[in-house]
Amino acid sequence: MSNAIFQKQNILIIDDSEINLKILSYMLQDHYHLEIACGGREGIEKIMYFGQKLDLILLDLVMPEVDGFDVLHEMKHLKLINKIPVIIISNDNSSETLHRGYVEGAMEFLERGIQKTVLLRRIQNILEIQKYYLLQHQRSQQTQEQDALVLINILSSLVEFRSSESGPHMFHLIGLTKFFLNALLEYTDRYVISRTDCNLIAIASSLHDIGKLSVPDAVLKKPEKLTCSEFEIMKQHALEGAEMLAHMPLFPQDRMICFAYKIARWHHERWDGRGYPDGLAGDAVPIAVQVVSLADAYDALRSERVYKPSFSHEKSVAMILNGECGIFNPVLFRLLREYSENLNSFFKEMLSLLSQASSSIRDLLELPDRFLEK
Amino acid sequence: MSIQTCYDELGGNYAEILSRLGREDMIRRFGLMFLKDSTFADLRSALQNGDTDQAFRSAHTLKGVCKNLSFTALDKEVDSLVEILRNGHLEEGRKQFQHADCVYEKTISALRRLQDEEE
Repeated sequence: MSNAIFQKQNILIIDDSEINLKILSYMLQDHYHLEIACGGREGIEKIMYFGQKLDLILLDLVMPEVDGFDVLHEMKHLKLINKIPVIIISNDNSSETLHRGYVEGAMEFLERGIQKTVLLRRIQNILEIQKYYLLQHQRSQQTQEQDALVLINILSSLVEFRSSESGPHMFHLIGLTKFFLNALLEYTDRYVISRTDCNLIAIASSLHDIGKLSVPDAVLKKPEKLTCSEFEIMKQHALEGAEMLAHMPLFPQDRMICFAYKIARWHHERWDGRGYPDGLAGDAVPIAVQVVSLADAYDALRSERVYKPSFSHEKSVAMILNGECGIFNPVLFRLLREYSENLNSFFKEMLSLLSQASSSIRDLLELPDRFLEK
Repeated sequence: MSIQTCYDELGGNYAEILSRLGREDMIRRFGLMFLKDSTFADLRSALQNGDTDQAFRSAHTLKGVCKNLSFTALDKEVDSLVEILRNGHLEEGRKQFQHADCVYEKTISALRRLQDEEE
């Protein structure tokens, strides 16, 4: 079953009567790919198996053991109720049943014995509404991302201005974080991160050093090695940055700012627990933050700084794997080895992209996909 | 025996089912499928066993099948039975079942003749 744009859409029919299933199938088979389930239990199994590959479900209500309302409950539990439209097919059009069906998440009711043209039209109407809804939701998300990006640009420019770090570092971090997240999800099933969250984490990474706004110039812009007491002052930027983000009006509702908080606070923690400020060890540090730390280390080595020249890709990777830039999750070490060539190619292409005036953050977020087909 | 004659005998709505399925061979196919459908037998057992909930579910399913097949006369009797059983009235349900059973026998008889004349 596939969802290619020009192919038929996929409908699951759930009913405990074989005759009903066969009649509905006959009426719809020329227009849609069909799956059938005899009863609620099989219906739930097929919903779990096909997931969002299903475009619509036709659902009987009165079935033995697992009825239509049980199926709707399970879809809510699976977080699919808002993603796959459900049309209840039932003779029971009492106000209680209608009310309960709509409250439980069904989009429409159709009576039994409906004519074929009416059935096809009503199904098509629901599918078009769903398509429109998904499009609007995507646009709304993109608008939110753009608003977040404007804010990021302003805040990270402030940090860059004060700390005299290389200008594009914030953008390098967005690209590298997205690259490493995509690679991680391709490399292992151990961590589960949605595509939307990958983008939010990448954008949030650019705020990792926002706490440096509170570090005095004398420490922040000192070209030589910091003394112990100066280093203690510098270390405060992790907690200070987290505090700044925690005081934002949108915290903790806004997901991107939540990620930014964790990244700002914990991007200097180490896998062996000897980092700062909280001394967290292992996966107590969210994997999103671990990835940002790796991206930050790599970019620091590849970029010229006030205290060092830029290093080659090979030297940078070797230094990280030697533990010279902190102790990382063994999975991330293996990831770096496995994807080293991809990373090198990606970094070059990213620099080229960022040198173009017309490039956007969206382009940067989409760039890693081109370098991860193994 | 033509399909239309069969439908007239069992008190069905031939024009409606033809409009729904579009083809006589499909009407015949699904109509004869009803001979193997066990829902009415499940309903009978449930009423005999005093299982009102199961009887309601079977009656409800049967009503849907009747609507889909445009078995109008049987649908009418089963519809009354559904409402009686929805309210949990088992004895009244058993009485109404007798009426539904008569129409069911007529329905089955007409379909069997159609099947026999085919073979």
